[in-house]
Amino acid sequence: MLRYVLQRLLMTIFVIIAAAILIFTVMYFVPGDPAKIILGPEATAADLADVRHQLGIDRPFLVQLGSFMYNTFIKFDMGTSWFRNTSVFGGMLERIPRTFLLGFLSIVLTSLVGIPMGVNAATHHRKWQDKGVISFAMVFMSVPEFWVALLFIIFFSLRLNILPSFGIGSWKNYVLPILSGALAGIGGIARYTRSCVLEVVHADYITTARAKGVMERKVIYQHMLPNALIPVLTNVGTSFTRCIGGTIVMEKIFSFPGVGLYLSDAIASRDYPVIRGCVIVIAAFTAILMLLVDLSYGYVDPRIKAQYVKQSTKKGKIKNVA
Amino acid sequence: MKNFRKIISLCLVMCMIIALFASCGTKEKSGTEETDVQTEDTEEIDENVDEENVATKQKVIGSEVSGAAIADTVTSVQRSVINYAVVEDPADFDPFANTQTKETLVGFYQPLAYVIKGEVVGCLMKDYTISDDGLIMDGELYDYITDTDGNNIKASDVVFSWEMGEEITHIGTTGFVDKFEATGDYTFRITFKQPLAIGQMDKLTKWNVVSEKAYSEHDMHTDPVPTGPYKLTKYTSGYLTTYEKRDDYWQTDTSKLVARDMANVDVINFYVIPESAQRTIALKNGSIDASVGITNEDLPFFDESEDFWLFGVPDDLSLDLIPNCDEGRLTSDVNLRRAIFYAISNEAILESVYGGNGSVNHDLAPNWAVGYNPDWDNETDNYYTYDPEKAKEYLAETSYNGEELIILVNNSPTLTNAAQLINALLEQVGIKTKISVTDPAIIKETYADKTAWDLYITMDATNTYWIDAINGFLTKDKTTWEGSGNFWMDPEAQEMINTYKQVANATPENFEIMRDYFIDNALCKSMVNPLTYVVVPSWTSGVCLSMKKCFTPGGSTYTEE
Repeated sequence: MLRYVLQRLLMTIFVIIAAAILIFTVMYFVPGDPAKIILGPEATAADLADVRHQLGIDRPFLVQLGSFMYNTFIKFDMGTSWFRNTSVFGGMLERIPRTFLLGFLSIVLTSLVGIPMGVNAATHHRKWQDKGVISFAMVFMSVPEFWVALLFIIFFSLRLNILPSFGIGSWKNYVLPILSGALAGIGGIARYTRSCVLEVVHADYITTARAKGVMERKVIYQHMLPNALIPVLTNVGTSFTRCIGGTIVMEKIFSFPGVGLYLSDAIASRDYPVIRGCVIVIAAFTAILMLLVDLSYGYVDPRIKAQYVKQSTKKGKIKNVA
Repeated sequence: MKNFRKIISLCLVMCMIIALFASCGTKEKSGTEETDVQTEDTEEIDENVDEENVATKQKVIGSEVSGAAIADTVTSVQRSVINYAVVEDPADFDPFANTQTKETLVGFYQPLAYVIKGEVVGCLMKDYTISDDGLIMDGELYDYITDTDGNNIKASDVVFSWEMGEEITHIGTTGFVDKFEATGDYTFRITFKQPLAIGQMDKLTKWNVVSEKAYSEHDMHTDPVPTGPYKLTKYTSGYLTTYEKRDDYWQTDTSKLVARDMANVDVINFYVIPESAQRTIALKNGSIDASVGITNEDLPFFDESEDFWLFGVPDDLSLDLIPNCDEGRLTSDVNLRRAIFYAISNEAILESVYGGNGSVNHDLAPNWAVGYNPDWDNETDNYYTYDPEKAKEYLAETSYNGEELIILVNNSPTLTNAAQLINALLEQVGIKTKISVTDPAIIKETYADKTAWDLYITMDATNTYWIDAINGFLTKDKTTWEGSGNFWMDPEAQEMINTYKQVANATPENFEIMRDYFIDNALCKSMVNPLTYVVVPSWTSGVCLSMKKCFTPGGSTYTEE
């Protein structure tokens, strides 16, 4: 098990470093001279050379890449925003909690509503509850998030005037972005849960339990759900990777100053240090979360844990024999 | 199956009801409907604000009105708070970053002086003299200027600020300033390389002055120490900037204040709302009191609303069409350039692209520029008035053979709409074009590549003077090649512009000569000067705008609600 954990950890580090190299290389080859972007077209050749030297972009590619990797992963310095003149790391630290809260609550709401809906649909297969859930899921999976968000703004902010349409002033500011972000997810998770539960509804052990006269409630909660929800929980765990990088559209619509808006503004203004910083943070967050999800498999699903143990034992035996 | 259909029908009905609730009761009209906003709201009061204008309350008082004049003529009460939506986050409070274009930072720091309608009006500078030969300027500061830290601003701070501005922002004065030195605690001397030219004084006043001590002790990117009437009390990046009125503001004599340096509101909250639709909604639901950047579609609502005033003022930017005059391009043929200019209808662009909100230009600069001859507005032919027949005649004199010309434009919706219309207008006279849409961040680089385009559509600024617009376009000082912005390589043009921009030579006759040269050679066609709109609450009695046409909440005046 420990060997597996170490392997996965190494893989995660490799993914983060690869993402950093990739984003640096892509940004390096993007057309446009950063010095000209910063100074404008009226800058003299001397001014441009001066700024290029200040930014360190007059050095060879490999030197720049080495410096970038050293600063990012050894000194934890992602550089300074070209247009804000503030630390990218500081800017990220300020925004990550907001974005994480937005994404996290959105996914929690999705799970809290979507999973029971899916279970309910499956246990009432082909009845009106099932069809209702399917219809709901179809509608909200079909309409784009931004459209739902705009509809909510018009209805709750403009017509009823009970919720703010922008900013981060109070808890009320989070309601509409979370609701808008969660609706499509609720439909998706409900459908997925439904199909997972339906797979075990007709399993032999469920039929056996029923034949033994076990109460239906007990059949559902003690026999059916623990098995059916393993893939669902995995799915929910994976969706947490969207906490940081998956809220760009919502942040833009609700003028919510999080990582997504920081990134999209940086892209518009070609603020390379901010773009690189955001991409690395999103990649690192996603890779680490995927690692945690993978590792949690062993604890959630006894079959996978047994597989790890079996593999370790086999290798141990071979070693002993040798 | 029957139930399933019912459920689907029910869902659809619910969606329709929600949509109905969401859209019912709106007062908005379509963008094409007639609106009289520009005639009613673009009027600007000159220095003397008259009682009649004050009574209507729908006036722009402008920053040229002194504090005393406002106090005497406009109904005004001290407001406790105003919430104002801005498009951009100030992001950086450093006084030497590019603060001139950021609405949030207008009036926060202060320069030596303002140039208002061509006149120098002191801010930190009490007085100044320029030697007869135009080579030396002696200035004197008020001796009681203090910043929010209590530091007294001296001439050495002015010199420090100028040096920092040159080093950090490249403010562009080194080209004509030979020496900048403090000659006493509150006096300084600037020595010029050549006699002072029109527009250079404007440049001298466009950088902020701060205390050297404060700059070394504070990280002014985030912890600014200004001399202006407000101090920063709260900043949440990307969301909110809050200013509070200073109790210890150094200038207590309102007769010496221009409107933008007044503090008629105790607290100003600048909310960053990048989306125009969101700003409109925030205005409608009362989350904010005032806003800029309202789309043409939303203007009629605010124009008719009793809760808001809508002000339209001419933008400092004009929509221009620049032909590439490099010898390797088809547009190096002056007759082709003339044909293109005659084929384009400025009126059509104004109506189609700007919904009629603006005015057509009859010159490279709009008619409000200092030095502009009002007679030019009435010329019927001189400035390439739309005439497709004439365009065809000129086209017949060229060797143009149906090749596609490249129109370079950035991806802003307004500019791409203009490009599409120009494409269609040129097609009507037989000139084929294709539109090359480029990212705004790199378009200036593409523009500098003379092989990449034939026609360039852009928004160009006119700051104060007519000559500035011509100079900015024609001079080789602003390019990395030995010619003007559109690769027009004529030493005669350079000599002409260098001579006529000197104060002594800046006469109407010389301006006419230069303008004729510009028109004869068809170097650029300025098409439209759009209006920019500010929505303010109905309890506003006078709107103060900065030089960059930004709404200045502290300088505006208010009444009780």
